[in-house]
Amino acid sequence: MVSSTRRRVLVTYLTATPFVIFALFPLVWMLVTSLKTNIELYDLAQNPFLVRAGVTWEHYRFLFTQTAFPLWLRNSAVVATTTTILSVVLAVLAAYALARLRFPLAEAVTTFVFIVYLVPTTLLFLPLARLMALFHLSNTLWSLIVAYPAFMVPFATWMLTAYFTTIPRDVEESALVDGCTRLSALRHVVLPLARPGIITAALFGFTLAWSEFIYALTFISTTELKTVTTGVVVDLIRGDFFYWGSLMGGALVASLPVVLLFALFFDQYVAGLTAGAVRG
Amino acid sequence: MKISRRKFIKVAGGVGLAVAAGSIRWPQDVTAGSPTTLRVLGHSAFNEDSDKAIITIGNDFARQHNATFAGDFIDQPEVAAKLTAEEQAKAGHDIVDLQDNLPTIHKDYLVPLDDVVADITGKFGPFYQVAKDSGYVDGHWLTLPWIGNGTLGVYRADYFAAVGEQPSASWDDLLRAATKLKKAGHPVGLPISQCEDADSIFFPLLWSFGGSVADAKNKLTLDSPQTRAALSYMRKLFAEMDATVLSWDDSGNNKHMLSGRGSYTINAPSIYLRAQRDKMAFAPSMRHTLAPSGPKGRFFYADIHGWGIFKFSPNIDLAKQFLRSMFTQASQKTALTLGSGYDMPVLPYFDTNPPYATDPNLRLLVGFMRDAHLVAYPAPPNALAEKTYQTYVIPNMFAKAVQGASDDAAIAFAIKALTDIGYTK
Repeated sequence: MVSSTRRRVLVTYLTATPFVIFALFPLVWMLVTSLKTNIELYDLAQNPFLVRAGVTWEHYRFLFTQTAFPLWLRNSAVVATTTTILSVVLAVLAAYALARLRFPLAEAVTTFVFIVYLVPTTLLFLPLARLMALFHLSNTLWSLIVAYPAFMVPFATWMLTAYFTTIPRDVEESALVDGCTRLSALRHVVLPLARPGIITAALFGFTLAWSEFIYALTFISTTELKTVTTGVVVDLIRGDFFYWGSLMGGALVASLPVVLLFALFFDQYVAGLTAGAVRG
Repeated sequence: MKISRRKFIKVAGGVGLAVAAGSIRWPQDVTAGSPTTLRVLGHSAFNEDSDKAIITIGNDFARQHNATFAGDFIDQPEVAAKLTAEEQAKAGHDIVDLQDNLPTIHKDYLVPLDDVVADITGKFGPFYQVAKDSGYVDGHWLTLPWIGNGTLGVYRADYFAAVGEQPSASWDDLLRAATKLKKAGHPVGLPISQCEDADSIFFPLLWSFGGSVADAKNKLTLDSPQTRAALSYMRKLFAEMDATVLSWDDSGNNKHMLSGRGSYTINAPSIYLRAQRDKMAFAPSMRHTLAPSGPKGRFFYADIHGWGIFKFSPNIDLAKQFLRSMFTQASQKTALTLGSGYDMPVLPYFDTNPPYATDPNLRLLVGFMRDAHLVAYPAPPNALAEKTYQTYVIPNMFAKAVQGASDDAAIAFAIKALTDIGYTK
């Protein structure tokens, strides 16, 4: 019995190890690179996975004191948080309607919403740039807050529509019979049950907004208003010189909020993703 | 202390709201009451001081004209998306940095600057031809040439001396030295890849063998014995280099030299300047020489950066005044001093004794622009050449050749790409 359990644990760890290494490799690479001196970074004879010539915090000092990195982080946090809340609220309402209400072409609308998500942002940034100028939003964080839901809402709607269909109608109908209105049934019955799905949609949405590049590049020009994705790339690559240490340090720090969020909500996220697996 | 999810959300939400409240202002709040703002979009140069020079000149100008100056700098690969978005939105910067043949691509959106150029050339004489090639489009000056970036041979004097070689004057010299240097463990390295450095090396290489992409009427001339000779030469040189040159980006040859392993490359002075500024141990051995000559002579390639004013700018007159102010004795002194040889004058008037000429390794750049060309050469500047440059057709042709493709196959590949761009046979 004991040996069987040990074997199972061993197999589990052995199976997981390659995936863990694959997932951690970029983070470890960024960390190691960001702690090396420039001279060691350029020395091809050195082992790229080890810091041999002593750890330096110079790249982080440069990042936090010589660039607008703290502002870029703040801007990314503001934009990603605001657009995630906005998008999830809109998506919950849209997804609920698509999953529960009977109206003509409901299925077609659901498909259309998904197709909208598939339109690449590289096609949309030009017409959206025009709209931002029209509404005097260019070069403000508002331009991103208004634009990001354009790709976040369809994705979250599509994801939540699938999730809402896994919640038994009976529970909700019982609430309606007991005197709930449609909205209070949604709020008091459906939403608590849909929490894993909503959290999953929010996590995905936050990640999409946090990592978005082309809108942030084209709508924002002022260094102090850049988000972390554009600020790090645009300001730390100068001509043919790359600030490798600071680039890696910036990328590492910028990835931490997303890592933290996924770590905190991991169980809900897994529940949200697997909810549709046993439907029907 | 265990942090619950609920507590985390409360704390993070509270902090987030506080930050958001402090950082998001309604757009009108930002602009209301501001004086006129002159917005300039430049490329972020390797040399940070190049950007500072523009900001210094801009702030001085703004103080004198009751305006504010906003200089935004982005790396060159992102410029295309930015310019296109602003052109479609008909809003954004007043003045933009347009490199090389880009004015031919963006000509419909640019204000003619003939009056500005006439004022400047009236005081200081004409621009170098390569600068005119960049800024003068369809009979009008659409950009005001600002600075040029040249390329030189960058070599390690100690490594060359150790193998009994002088800095290479010709491509044949370089091949001979490369064989010895590879054996010594310090190979020559030229990027044969999709990057601007590769463009800046392979166009002059092609010209120096007598080859060219197109003639003066934009008719393709690439399929020639001269091109085949250049391909044949590069196969031999590639055998003496690390195979990694096929994957280098623009930082590849910088790393090659700054690692201490590389002995030679061709680049802007950024490698030399970085070695000096970071006080690298081998900095005293890092030297410059002119790029090699071929059977048909020595050819120089230059990046020319010029300023264009968008037609939709609400500040066209002020922008023109600013451009005039960039060509005063004081402004040029600021730009060329902070430019440190990375930025070179495009007016011969300011090229007689630029501030960086005291450095023997940068003195080679004095007058560099006199014989430099854009990639369209020998054709006049045009959008087709810019597309050829941006899509790395010529480096790709050389990359195919050194990886085993025959001359016919490599040239056929390039000609297909060039005709797709719009060249005619």
